[in-house]
Amino acid sequence: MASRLLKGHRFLRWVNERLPLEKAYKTHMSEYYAPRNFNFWYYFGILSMVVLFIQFVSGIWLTMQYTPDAEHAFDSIEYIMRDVSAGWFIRYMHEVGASFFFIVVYLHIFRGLLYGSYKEPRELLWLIGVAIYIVLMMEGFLGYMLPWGNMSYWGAKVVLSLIGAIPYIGESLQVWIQGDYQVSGVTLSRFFALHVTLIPILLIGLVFLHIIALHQVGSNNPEGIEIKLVKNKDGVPLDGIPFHPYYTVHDLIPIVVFLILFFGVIFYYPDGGGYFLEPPNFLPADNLSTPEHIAPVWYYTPFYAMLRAISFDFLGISAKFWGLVVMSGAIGLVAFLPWLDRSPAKSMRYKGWASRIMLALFTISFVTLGVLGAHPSDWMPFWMAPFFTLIYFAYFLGMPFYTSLENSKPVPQRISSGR
Amino acid sequence: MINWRWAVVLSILVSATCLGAEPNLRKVNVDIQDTGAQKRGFKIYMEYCKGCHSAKFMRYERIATDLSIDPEEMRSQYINDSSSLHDSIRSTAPSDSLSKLFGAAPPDLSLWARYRGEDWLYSYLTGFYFDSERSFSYNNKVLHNVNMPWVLNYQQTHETPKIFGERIRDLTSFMVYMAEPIRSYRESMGQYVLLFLALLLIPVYLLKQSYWREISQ
Repeated sequence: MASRLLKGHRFLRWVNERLPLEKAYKTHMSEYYAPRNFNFWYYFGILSMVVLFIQFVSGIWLTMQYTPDAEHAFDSIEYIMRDVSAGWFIRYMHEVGASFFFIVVYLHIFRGLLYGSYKEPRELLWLIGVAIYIVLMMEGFLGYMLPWGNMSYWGAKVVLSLIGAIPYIGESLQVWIQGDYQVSGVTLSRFFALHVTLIPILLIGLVFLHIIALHQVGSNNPEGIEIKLVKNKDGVPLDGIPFHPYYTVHDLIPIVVFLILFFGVIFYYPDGGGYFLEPPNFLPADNLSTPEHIAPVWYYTPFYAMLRAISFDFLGISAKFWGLVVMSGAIGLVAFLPWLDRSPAKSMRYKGWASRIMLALFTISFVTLGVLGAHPSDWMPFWMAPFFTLIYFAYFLGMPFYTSLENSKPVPQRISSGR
Repeated sequence: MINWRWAVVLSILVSATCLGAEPNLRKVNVDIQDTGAQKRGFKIYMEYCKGCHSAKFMRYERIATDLSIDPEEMRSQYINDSSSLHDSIRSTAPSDSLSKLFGAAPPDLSLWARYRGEDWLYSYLTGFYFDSERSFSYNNKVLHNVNMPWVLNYQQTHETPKIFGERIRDLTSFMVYMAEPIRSYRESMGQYVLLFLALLLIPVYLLKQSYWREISQ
């Protein structure tokens, strides 16, 4: 197809002699063979690319009108909402986009857990993915501060105080990051700089590596079968189909369905029922008036619940620091999955009952922690947060044991049925 | 006399529920397309609220356009200070003298409806009542020991509850409009965008089907 495209085009031929146009097209599109049995869960990779694009473009236009300074930041958001042509639309896209980014990324990660996409030979692909998730959390945190509403201010204060809880170096580290003895306009300006330059560059770079690494090892699939093991005489996997045109036209459907949901929220529920835009953030930042209940945006709440679950000092170090350790441990452990999973099978379809039950418990505990973290700590009995934190950790730390003890079914060589 | 223990327990329970639960807010269900109500609410805002509360993000010109008020009418009937059409709503009294008088500066109300919600506004504004315990003999059901004066005292005590309720509903409508002037346009635009995307789904689906027919064979 590529050569056919290049045939009549002198200019393209000229470029192709100087830049690997045809080679890249073949490697990543027309001769990248993807398993033919992708299902619903395989939509969320491409959808996160779509949201990344939306965030990137809407972010450029917001940067043109936003003022990163404590005096004017809040007013400049209202200026964008009221006086800039279509400013409200661009701002809502960016704000709803942030939440949708995390929705699709969480579903994308869940797919990885479900079908064992982290297992050999995709360990590095998984590690790059974990790095993307961490960078994305940083980007979200920095961006949430920019409207300079009261929740932006107090949320940032709570998170930055975690750094201050690190023994010995914490306090000076916190001052270094804030650029001031408290969260102030200086912090706002530097967070803006990081939000629009360093972190997006990292994010795009990592996403690029994620795709290159994916195309090197090939996609996993719901059966967890390595399609590269069975090839025809031309070296084409028998269970693979060219990514272009088959998956490009296939993925247009979920993209349009996604856009219907996305624009449905933008036009009808832009504040996401108080979860995407929190009501206290409609008051400007005020260091003298604390919101009644400080909660991070919904996508951080599972980790916030874990932080609050640790309520006792230990070894003379504050509970807050141990909470930080548990919280970062919860994220860090995800990176070790390729080496924690000892099962011979990748997909849940061939793994044993122990793996299935543990994944179900893990999912329940993650969602429950998310709900708990969005509410005041006395909303439910106190034992719930520590209990579900334990289950969360048991999923990872117990994995070497339950995956090697359970009986898994033998994985076939070929993809037999449809999905 | 035997039951005094129960009385104590009961009163603790009752006060605990009163403290713990959010006060029951009255539903108002404002209609964001009803510019008539917003216009009447705007009039009330200018007469009773603007004295103390600015709305610094709301320009008179924008209100004139959105609520179809003639610029001349806006100047003569609504704007009651030296502001021009391009200005935003400024409070009449300086806020530092007001904060001395009431103990807190009256907040800017541009975004109040998005901060508190329409039901809170409606319940608060209809929630004033006589309370002999307090020095000025009034209180509020939603915001206990309120500092704000009972501005609409005369209306609330001299009008029928129905008429007064309608009046507050108009004021709430205006404040909901003011918190997000684009909202009614946004919601009416949304249907075209969604309709377009829904129609787009058809060719996209047929395209996929035509390509994948080769594979399923």
